[in-house]
Amino acid sequence: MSCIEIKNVTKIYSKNNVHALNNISAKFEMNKFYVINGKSGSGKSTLIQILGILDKINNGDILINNKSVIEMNEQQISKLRMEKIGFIFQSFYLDNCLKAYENVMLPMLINKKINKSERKAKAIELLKQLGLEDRINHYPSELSGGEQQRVAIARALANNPDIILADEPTGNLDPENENIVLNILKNLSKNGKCIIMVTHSQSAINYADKVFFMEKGVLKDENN
Amino acid sequence: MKITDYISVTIKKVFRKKSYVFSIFLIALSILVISLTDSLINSINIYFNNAAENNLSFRTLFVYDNSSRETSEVINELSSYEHVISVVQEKSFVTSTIINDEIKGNLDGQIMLYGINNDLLNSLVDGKKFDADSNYTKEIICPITFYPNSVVQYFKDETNNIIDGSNLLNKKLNLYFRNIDINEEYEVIGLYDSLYSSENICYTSFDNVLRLNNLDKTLIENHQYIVFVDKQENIQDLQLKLLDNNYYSNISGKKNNTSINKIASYGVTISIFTLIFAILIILFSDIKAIEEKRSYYANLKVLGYNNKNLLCFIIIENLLIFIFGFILSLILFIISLNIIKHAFRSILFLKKTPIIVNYKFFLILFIILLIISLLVGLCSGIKIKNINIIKSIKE
Repeated sequence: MSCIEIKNVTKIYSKNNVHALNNISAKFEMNKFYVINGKSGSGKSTLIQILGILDKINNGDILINNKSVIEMNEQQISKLRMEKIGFIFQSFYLDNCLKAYENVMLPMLINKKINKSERKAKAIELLKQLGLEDRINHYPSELSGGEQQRVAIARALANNPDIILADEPTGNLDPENENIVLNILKNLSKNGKCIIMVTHSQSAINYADKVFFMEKGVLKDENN
Repeated sequence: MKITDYISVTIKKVFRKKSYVFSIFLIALSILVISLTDSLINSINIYFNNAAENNLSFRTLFVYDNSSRETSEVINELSSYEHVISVVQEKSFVTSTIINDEIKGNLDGQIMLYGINNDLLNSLVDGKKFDADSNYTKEIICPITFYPNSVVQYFKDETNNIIDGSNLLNKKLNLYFRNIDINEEYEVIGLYDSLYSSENICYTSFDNVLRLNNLDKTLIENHQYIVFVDKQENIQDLQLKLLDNNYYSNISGKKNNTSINKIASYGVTISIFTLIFAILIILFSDIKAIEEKRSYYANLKVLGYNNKNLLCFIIIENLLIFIFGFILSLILFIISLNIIKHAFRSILFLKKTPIIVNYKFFLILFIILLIISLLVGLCSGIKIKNINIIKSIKE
């Protein structure tokens, strides 16, 4: 069963009339690691933003757990993002004033399903799972790029979402840290998550269960 | 999300970020300047008013009687007026003398010896009670600040010439009365606050002044009487009533408010500018924070925070910065007041200045800045509502 599906999605940037996504349809399932590969400007980042309901589409439909999100209001979309989707970006967007575990706790603060007493333990557990047990009380400025990205991954996992959307998550990392992050994402998919990663890096392809190619706003299956 | 969660996260951030700490400090400093200015203006104002009220010459009328009535009759009539506390003949009121003392180096000059009764003395002199029955004939009351050899005006920079009257307390001064060519020894038995007085007025009993003036054969008898009034505010009213009964009167001294008004106007200017400065700090630190943290707020939205959550974050952040700034200003205010109090004690003519803390003003200031903080937070929240997540994340 697909956890996220797009049907005939078109996105046009009206400012310069660019067709960033051109009548795209795709289904993404749980337990899978999807890599969307393509050159800069091919529309892959737009696709991940659309999948994460960060931007509006001109045509088509987006279904998350078979429910259309097109007619949802800001409140409903925020709730959906909080419960179902975790984001990882090239830049880590960590709060420099908060320690690693406090950054991981940030999404939990708005989740009523997680008790106050559980938050810290859960954040620490996530950081431990990502190999950051000795960095729990460190501030982002005291961490390496790879470590910061792992904190960002832990934060994306904080509310236990089904879907992880990653936009060039290894873009700022050296090859060693790139492999660490890719392995983490791969393991997450094995543990039941649906990972959709957008990248222009070729090494990510080796970890993917399925690879898509984006070209001029059109999504192509690796088999096509 | 609970309010306690917002507060606990924000408190951590506020104390860990230098720019926030800087904002707290600037707000505290602004509130401190405003409250200190207000406190000092009030203190100085009250001090000057009290000092003016204490200055007998501001409550003394010279009254001329055109009739040829008996002195006792006139004194009785003048005494019957409302607000009049004492009436004497001019002869009992004033004489001049020259201090001719062993502490000559410092005390070599002219003083005025004024007559006074014990009730008036009790209202002037702190820490000493003058019995109604005692007749002080060879005792005098000196000013706290004594200006030998000169007629100085208040605020004139002649501090080197000022003598601390407390040095003279319980000492004997040798006074030379030039007009009658005699020397007499007087003991200084009390001090009075001499602000506004630059004539080195010393007080003794009416009888003593009368005795000395009676020895002066050159003195011409006149029909002038000295009327002491209970309060300055009643003087004008009394003068009108006296005039109705054909008594012409002049006030002995008049308070000059120029310096006080000048200080007050400087204070108000400083307060207004500092208040504007404080508001600008709140405003700009917020605008700057929003601009700087556009991508941060966009990321929170990505994490699932809605506009309401972000608005709460911004408002609580603003309020906490303001409240911490206010608390810091209160602490600094208390410390500053103690320093000022200490400093005042070491300055002779400011020694008795009361330090007034206007809590009502503090409360009003707190409410004004609280409302401004809330409004600025709300405006910033509206700005955040329209944030473009994708654009902000790319920044």
